[in-house]
Amino acid sequence: MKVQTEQFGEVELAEERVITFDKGIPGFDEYKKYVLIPADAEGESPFFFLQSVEAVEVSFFLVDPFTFFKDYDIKLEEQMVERLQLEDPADAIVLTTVSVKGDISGATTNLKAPLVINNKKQTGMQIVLNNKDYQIKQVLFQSGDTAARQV
Amino acid sequence: MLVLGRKKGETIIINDDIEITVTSIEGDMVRLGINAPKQVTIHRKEVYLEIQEENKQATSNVINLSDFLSMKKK
Repeated sequence: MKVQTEQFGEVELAEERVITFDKGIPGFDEYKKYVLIPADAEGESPFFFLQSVEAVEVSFFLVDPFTFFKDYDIKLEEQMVERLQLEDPADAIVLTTVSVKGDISGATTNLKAPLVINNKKQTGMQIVLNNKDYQIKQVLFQSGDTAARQV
Repeated sequence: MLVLGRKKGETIIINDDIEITVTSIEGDMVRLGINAPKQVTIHRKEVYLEIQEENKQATSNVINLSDFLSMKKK
């Protein structure tokens, strides 16, 4: 199937890649069908786009939070597991949204409300964690990382 | 808006399958216990609104993608 993407123009993707968010995503309730596209073709980047197949302008910029926050962990409640039809934790992909104001060093990610995708059943939802340590606007690049990047 | 008076331990029922019980009252803090079918999502409203707003920002990024791509998986 052909999908119009905001970042890469028209791309050809297998039908099976479509992920259904049956409740939508908060703020975008009307869009249920998405495809997950790695930010680079080699798949080496921890960044992804979650592109709506229904509206080209709806494209979330996402990151694998574990790359930046080694201790990040989420506990899926039973009802989430059921709703996602998750049979094996290994089938779960966890990603968090990234927003950027100004330059890259100001990027933040939402550790409070990760997107969880069942990679086998192609279902997804955004969950809200009770953990008070996880911020909606967590600075992504700690100063050490930025410095290292410039070397 | 419907406004109901409830005491500690009392419950309201919505639509046959959602129950909300006042479990404790301390000063201006009320604790609610909620029983609802699993397909019903329940959020603190201010958190939900913040997440909506954050999601909107995550779709309207002006990204210099090459900057981000230089951050390889560690």
